[in-house]
Amino acid sequence: MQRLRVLLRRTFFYLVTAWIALTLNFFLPRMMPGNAVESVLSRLEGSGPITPQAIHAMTLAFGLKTNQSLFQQYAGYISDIFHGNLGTSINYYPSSVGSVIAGSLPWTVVLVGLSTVIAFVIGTGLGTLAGWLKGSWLDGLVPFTTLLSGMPYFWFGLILISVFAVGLRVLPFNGGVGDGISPSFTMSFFASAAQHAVLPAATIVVSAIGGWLLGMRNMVVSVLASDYIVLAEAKGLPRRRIVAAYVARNAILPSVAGFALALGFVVAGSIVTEVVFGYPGIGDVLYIAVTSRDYPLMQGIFLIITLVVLLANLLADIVYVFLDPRTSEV
Amino acid sequence: MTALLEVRDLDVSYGHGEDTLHAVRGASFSLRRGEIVGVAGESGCGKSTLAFAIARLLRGSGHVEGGEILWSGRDREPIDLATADDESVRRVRWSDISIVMQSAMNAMNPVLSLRSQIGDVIKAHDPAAGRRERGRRVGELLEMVGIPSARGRAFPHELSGGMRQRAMIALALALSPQLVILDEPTTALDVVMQRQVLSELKRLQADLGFAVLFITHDLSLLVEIADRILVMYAGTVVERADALDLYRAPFHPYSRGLLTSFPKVTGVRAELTGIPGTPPDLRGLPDGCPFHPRCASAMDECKRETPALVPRRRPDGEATPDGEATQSRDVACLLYQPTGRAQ
Repeated sequence: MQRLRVLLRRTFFYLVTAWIALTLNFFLPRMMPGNAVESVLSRLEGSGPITPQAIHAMTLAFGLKTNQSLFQQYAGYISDIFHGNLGTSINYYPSSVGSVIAGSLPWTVVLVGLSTVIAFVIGTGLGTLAGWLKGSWLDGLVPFTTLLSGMPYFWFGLILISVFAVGLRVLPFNGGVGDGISPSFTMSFFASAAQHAVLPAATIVVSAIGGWLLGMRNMVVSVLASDYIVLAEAKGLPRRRIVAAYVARNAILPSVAGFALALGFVVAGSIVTEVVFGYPGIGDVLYIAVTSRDYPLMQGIFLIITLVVLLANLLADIVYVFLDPRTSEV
Repeated sequence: MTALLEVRDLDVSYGHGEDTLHAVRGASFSLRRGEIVGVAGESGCGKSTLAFAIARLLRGSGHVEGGEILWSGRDREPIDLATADDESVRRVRWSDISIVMQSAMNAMNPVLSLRSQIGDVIKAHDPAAGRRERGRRVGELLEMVGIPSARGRAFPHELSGGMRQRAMIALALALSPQLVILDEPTTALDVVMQRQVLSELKRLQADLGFAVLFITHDLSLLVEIADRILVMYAGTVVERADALDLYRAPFHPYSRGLLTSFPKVTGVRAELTGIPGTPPDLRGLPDGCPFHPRCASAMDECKRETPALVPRRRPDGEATPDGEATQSRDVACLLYQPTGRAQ
């Protein structure tokens, strides 16, 4: 079938891209001067002399195989990845990079992922209405939402903190969950996590909504001017059918591509929000990894980001093939 | 017998206040059941605006400023489409009046299959028809215009231009309407395709007996297919006549110009002369007859007096090709003398 062929070709394309990304991820850090051991050494320098044995021990512990050829290291790196072994974190030593990421990724995926979905649904929904009711009071709100999305969101986050967490004291200002509560399938955990997620989620939703709204609104306006909408009206179709199957169905196509890309950046795009709110997600961990020059952790996180972005793109392509029959055209 | 459609003194404008553009001014005509009425004129003459006003599909700031559009459909109380409420108009749409638009590519929803674009209009007006019943009717409609019913699964971009236009015709006939508005249905097609689509239309019209309002700039094409013809210029109807009479003896100098602007599909080759000048700017029409700046027969009074569309006869002594039949008709031109007799 036409669609299947298109999808298979896309999947192959993304596999090749993933391989190139993995390879770059391997070579880039090795082209930089210095290595992880040297960075630890420079930190420990003040605390006294370090024996060659200690250096050797650290080198082994970090998995730096300096005695191997570059190709051997590369082969080992690829095989490690397929075994889920991303090395050992320096900052969280002796935790493995894999376990550090596994501990922080779910926080980010739930918080930022859900916020992105909520912003998309509300934004495109309101955008459809604003475009359909062009010139109404709702349409008049568009510049205001655009202003909100133009605002730096960490600044907006700080305002929320000062009003709701510091001023009114109704919501916590920091962390992912209350003190002493560990992740588990209990009501108290979910309640506390939800409470902690309200402010960062609101920050993300408010700053993202304007973009979706404006994009959808403008697409709706341009779709409304097309002949097939005139014809749909001439057909005497119920308004619901015209809005859903003729207007929104066509206007949403560019937004879908944008949405998939936004999902791809869920992992990477939340650094500032997580730092501002002290949220224990992967953005926060990446920030710590960068400031403490934790190369294995950085490398691991970049790898995850790359794969998620590629996966999101693949997802966008799949959805697109089903939403727009013209994409199966070869 | 009452007319199916009776348009009286229709004024259609775009915009309001000082920027108002009067696209159609005082248009009147009637259309009987099963009749083919053609509307011809250059682009910007208001012919498409007239058609869209009748279906109440004016875009943007377009609106009916005055006049009546009386629709007396089968099994239906007569209604004035110019003033009826939206829901009444929605019920008349497609089940009574359908449209074939100029560009089938743009007039079809690119993301829905043919089947569902024809199916949804059946569903909207005949909710009792089940899924299977709808599928069967869609298949029949497509076969009727020469498209294999299996092609109903295709999307618009997968069809050729001629096939798309035929699919539009199938769509237009989905609910057996009493009037089909054809807005330049063949303009986007090549000449061979034009022929095919036109003969297809003629055959279907003869079989199903729907009335047609045929909008085109090609007057010679109308002469072949229409029963009666309206010639429009600068928003007004300047001549209204039976197709054959108009062909034999166009009264208005503009009609004459239009007839000699296109090569005839059949018959002897005649010299194409066309009309000098460009279509008028509707915002700055000249005083008097709007056509006088481009008219070879313009007289001094044409610059002062605006001729009304009334029955007029040829000046005595002027030769007529077919005697009495082409002696008089409704025309808005001072070259002809008004008669007391209504046509």
